[in-house]
Amino acid sequence: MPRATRRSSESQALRILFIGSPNVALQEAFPSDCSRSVDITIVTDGRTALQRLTDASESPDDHDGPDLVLLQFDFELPDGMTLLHAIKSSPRLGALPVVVLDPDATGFDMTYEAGGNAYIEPPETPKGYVALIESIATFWVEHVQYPGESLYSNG
Amino acid sequence: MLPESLLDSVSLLSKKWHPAIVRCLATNDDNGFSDLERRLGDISAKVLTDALDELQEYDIIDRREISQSPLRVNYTLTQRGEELNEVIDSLAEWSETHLAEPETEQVVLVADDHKRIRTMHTDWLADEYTVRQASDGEETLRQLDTDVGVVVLDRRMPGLSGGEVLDWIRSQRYDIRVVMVTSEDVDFDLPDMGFDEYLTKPVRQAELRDVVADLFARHEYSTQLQQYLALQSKLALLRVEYPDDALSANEEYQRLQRRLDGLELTPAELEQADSEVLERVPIGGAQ
Repeated sequence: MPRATRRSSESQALRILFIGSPNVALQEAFPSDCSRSVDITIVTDGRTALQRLTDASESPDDHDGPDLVLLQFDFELPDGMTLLHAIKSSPRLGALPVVVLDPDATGFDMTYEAGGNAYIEPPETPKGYVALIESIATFWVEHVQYPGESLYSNG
Repeated sequence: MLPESLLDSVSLLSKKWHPAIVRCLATNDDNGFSDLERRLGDISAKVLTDALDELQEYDIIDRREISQSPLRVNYTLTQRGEELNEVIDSLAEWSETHLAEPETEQVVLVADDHKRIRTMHTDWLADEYTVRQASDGEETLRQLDTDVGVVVLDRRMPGLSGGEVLDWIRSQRYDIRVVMVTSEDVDFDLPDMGFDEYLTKPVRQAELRDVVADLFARHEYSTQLQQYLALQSKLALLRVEYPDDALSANEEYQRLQRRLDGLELTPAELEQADSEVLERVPIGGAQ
């Protein structure tokens, strides 16, 4: 069976999966204000998010998986905590960085208990998001060492 | 009050090398000094000499000179020593039963939105396994981790369905075997689902216990053999539900059959599967 070309390593854009309802017009802020090429996808419910991650893991050739997840807590089931746990317990996606954005600042302890990588209050302006994502990207993409294999490779 | 004599024997047994020497003498014939030194491993000559002296004082072992020059001795258990060895044996057995770390814990996750069924299935499994429970798809995801070996998964649950949970488990490459439980009729969507086994409600106790035990056994099998068994289970299910001519015309059935034929199992792999499993699979789920 012919396989689609793997794009994950060739494409330089940082793929971000935003799960929740951003408080600012996020997509408009990128790429114009951002020095880095960012490909941001927003899904507003947990079920779609789960489906996307399932697809990306199941057939990485057909579905691009995210490099980074920005996760809000306040959306429909499965909720943010469930998704965070699911990602962090997964043998495949455990290393995928998840940054939890919690406007109510209530899930601090839970986030770290479930293995979330960072817990922050969401920025209030598009510029704030750009700055946030640039700093996250610098850290997670340039500084952090990952296991040798791609998150989504079939192995 | 404990009798003095009991405390004496306990203190004798609590010495590091004494029980080991007794067992060594009980299980081997030639027990010269150097034989003992070798069999006991990292014991120094000084410590061994002292221990042998003490055991002789208690009349537990007997030292016999075989030759003077060069000096060769052989140690044997006395009658008292033989009796002590039996005590040590049963003590060893006792520790094996009560103190030994349990073998790796086997974790089953029972996911069902009906509390009564979930509790019942849990009770049936709780004596053999560590059982976690989940009352819906979301909770199943939260209970899931790499410690879980088998999931007993209700197909129809509110919120995330069993099918969605199953897709997640498979896509994440969990090394987890899944038995899907359902009250629905068998349909042709079923073969697309990545379960290993399938049970129809009402599930009987023996049936559930057998399936879970089989699925834990399958962890030891090769991926090919696991796929083979999962495919067999689905084919069998369809064979029970549909007449032959409907099956031969059904693409899904034919596709499964081709996948099964495409698997190249070695005779050793087939043998590896417990014959019980192979016997049970063809009737899997059919009631």
